[in-house]
Amino acid sequence: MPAQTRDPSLAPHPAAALSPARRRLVHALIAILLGGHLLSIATAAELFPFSYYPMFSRSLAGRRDYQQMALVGVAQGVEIALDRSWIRAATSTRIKHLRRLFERALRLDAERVPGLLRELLRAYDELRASERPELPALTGLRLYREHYLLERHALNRGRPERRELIEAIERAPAGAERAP
Amino acid sequence: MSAWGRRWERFWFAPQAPLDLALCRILLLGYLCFYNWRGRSAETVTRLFGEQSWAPISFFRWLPEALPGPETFGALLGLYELCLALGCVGLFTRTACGAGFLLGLYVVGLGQNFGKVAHPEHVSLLLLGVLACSRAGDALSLDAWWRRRRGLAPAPAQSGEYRWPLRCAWLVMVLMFLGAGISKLRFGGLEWIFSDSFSNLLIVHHYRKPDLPGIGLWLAERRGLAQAAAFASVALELLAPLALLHRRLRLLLVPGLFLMQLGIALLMHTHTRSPNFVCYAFWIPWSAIGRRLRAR
Repeated sequence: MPAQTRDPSLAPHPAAALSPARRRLVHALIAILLGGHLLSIATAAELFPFSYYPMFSRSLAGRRDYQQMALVGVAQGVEIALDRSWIRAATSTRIKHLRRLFERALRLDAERVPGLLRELLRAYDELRASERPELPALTGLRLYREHYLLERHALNRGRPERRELIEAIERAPAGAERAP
Repeated sequence: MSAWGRRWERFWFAPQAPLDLALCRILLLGYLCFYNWRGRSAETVTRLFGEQSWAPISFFRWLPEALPGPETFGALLGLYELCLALGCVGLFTRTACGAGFLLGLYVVGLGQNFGKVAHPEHVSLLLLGVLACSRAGDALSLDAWWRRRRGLAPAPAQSGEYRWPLRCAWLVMVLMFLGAGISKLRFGGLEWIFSDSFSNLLIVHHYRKPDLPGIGLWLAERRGLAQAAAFASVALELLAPLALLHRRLRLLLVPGLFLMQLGIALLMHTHTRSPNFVCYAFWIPWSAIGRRLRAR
């Protein structure tokens, strides 16, 4: 699909050719683009803005089970489902980021998870205070790991075989972690 | 000059009309404006991402650890969006693209440092850097209009200056696909293709995203078809560099890669609004299409 123009009516222009300095710049740019990508690919390292693009590259051959993180809110001791349909239905990108962030907890060090949840609760409070006042007030957050047996039609979606608590945080009753 | 040298010269620097590059500039930067306006806010980044989840990558390792507040980040984001808008309409085009690239490295990059790297904007950001070095504002721009109004010499009707940025876009895109193909073989092996891996991948997405269309499960159930789709994906990705070398293969590979990305978006709802889709505009011979339409 070359996009070269062959219109004979277009006359050559004195500035049409690239100067040697411009050529050097272009070649340097090509070298950077090529080198950055190849280095990232060779070392399997994220060298933003270069990458080796590893998305979906792990094999799931023979997998019969599946784990995922689930975050629930707590209000006066009762769990409130921050369910996925609610998260997805919310148009605010902030809600989408909330979901993404707790999914990332799997990759983080376990000892960082309580701090992460406190960050999430603070973010939730700020969101509620700023633009989503209809969100229910939370006193805590609980992070679960849900275990599923993979079914061909995913009919057991939302009904995990097992659910284990990874971490729970509760707001201090005296308002040590007050919402803004 | 050797035959390879001539080929290199023709590939990168053969004269080309400025229209193709200008159109690509407008489409890419226009879409990036929309993408940022819809998908990124200072509050999201600064309030939801915190120090507990800070896991820096790339050059962020060498930057101060302190995360910017919403005001600071909001100002940077606003400047980034202003640069994209200026680049789109072609006002101070090169400066706007250059500043946009530098700001984008931080604004787009910051969100990548919290445990997960997302890839929808890598290519478009690099292309912004390419545009900053190019003369993408020589046509269809306020800069060109102003130049004409002041009676300055117009931009050349054809030049290699309008070709190499398009070819750089091609290069960046095929390297993205090559990286993805190599990663699948490196981390997943042939098993990624010749097993139930791809079927399971499709099924797993239905646990994550309940409102996915059923076609993914339909495909997952047909093991042979799913393996063929997995094979086609890896083959297209690994062969993508050939699109740079061969015109006929380009006609096959580029639409194939586009359809593959469309398929991923449809089956997994992943990167459905990725700027990568707009980057395919760099492969389209706009001026040639225009000439043909005019000739009719």
